[in-house]
Amino acid sequence: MTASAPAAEPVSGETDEALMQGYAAGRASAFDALYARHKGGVYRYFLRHCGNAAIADELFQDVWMNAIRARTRYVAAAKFTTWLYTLAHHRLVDYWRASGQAKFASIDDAGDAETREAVEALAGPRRDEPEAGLATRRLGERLRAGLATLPPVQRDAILLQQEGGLSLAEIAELTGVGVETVKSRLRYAIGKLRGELSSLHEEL
Amino acid sequence: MTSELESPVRDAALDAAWRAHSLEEPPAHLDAAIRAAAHGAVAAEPREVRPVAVKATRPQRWWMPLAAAAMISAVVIGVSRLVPQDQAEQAPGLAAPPIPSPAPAPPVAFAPSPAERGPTTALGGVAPSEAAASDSAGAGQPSESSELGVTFAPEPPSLPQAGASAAHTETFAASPNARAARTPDAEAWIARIRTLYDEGKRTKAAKELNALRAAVPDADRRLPPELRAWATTVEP
Repeated sequence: MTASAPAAEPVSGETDEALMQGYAAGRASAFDALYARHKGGVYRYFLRHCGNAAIADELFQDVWMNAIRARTRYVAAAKFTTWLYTLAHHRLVDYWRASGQAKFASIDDAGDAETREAVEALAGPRRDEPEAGLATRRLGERLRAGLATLPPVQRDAILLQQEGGLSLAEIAELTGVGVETVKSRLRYAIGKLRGELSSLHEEL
Repeated sequence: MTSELESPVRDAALDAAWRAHSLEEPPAHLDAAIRAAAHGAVAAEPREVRPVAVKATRPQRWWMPLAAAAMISAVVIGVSRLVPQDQAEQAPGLAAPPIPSPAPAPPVAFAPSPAERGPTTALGGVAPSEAAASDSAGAGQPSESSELGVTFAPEPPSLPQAGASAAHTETFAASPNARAARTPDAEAWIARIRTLYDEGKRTKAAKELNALRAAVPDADRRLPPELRAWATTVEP
């Protein structure tokens, strides 16, 4: 489930699929509703993966432009979030390939300098928000840091689950692997992040 | 959406922490740019469905009444050609519209052709005796034109207009059945005889009297007193 907008929960009485079909039929307001529902999840999907706001902005814009161009090819049989995050996933893979980081390889060494740099560069909140206290702030930092240390395939799985609200089967279909593989990746990612949170609680 | 089967790969504490720290949103300028592109794409694309539908229905609107009119015209022409011409000529409504008669009356005698016409009277009419013969031949044709092309409407005799009545060839002779039915006309007939008598046309008046006698059994009794003496001198 996403934090800001549950993907499949109908807002204003229309499902994502109906809104996308309405937009494909020429109703611009349907796109506004869809965009409002899913912009946060897609944006954070890129931001958590890349750790760079500028790159996330570029990839985010590309995905939505692709969605706009492909609106007439959208088939209602496909779940909209699956379709949207498939576009996002493919765009991310393309970006990594183009930038020479064509590795959905594991970043196992958390002490690696490059990884530490990426963790430090992970963007915090983009808007001014009131101080939520030291514990809350540190919790967020620890969570982002733990996510950054995950191997990309595990990070991808947990991001698709948390931000996209996709099921195991949908993640498996999207990433082209089996459900058990997805389950394994998620278990590993959750275990790692849970460990980060536990250590934080012990510190506090 | 996740099912119960996915519960082993979910962690409630992690989900809560994730939701609390998933606050990043795209910058506002990006929102505006994407929304503008989405709206522009929809506004710029040509409306494909509606104009096509209008184009498809427009021709049907104008040629359908035209086609219906053409079909009706073809049917009417075809039917009119199928009707035999002799039937068309016999149809009174098509050949010559009948002149409306003022009252339903039995057929009147028509002036015969000059060849058939016998010795005419001084008035130019046919003697009642000959007229009666011609009447019996044409009794079944209520209103037809003579060979002279004159159509006579069966009008009641109005003998006070003696000049007018003398101008045409109509007589009051009729078939026995018609005579019986025309009993009230005997008065007009008698008035005509009287007019002829007063004008000095005794021969004509005698012929008319004999014709009246043939038509009305008690003709002599109906005569006015001033004609009865003269009538006794007229041999039937």
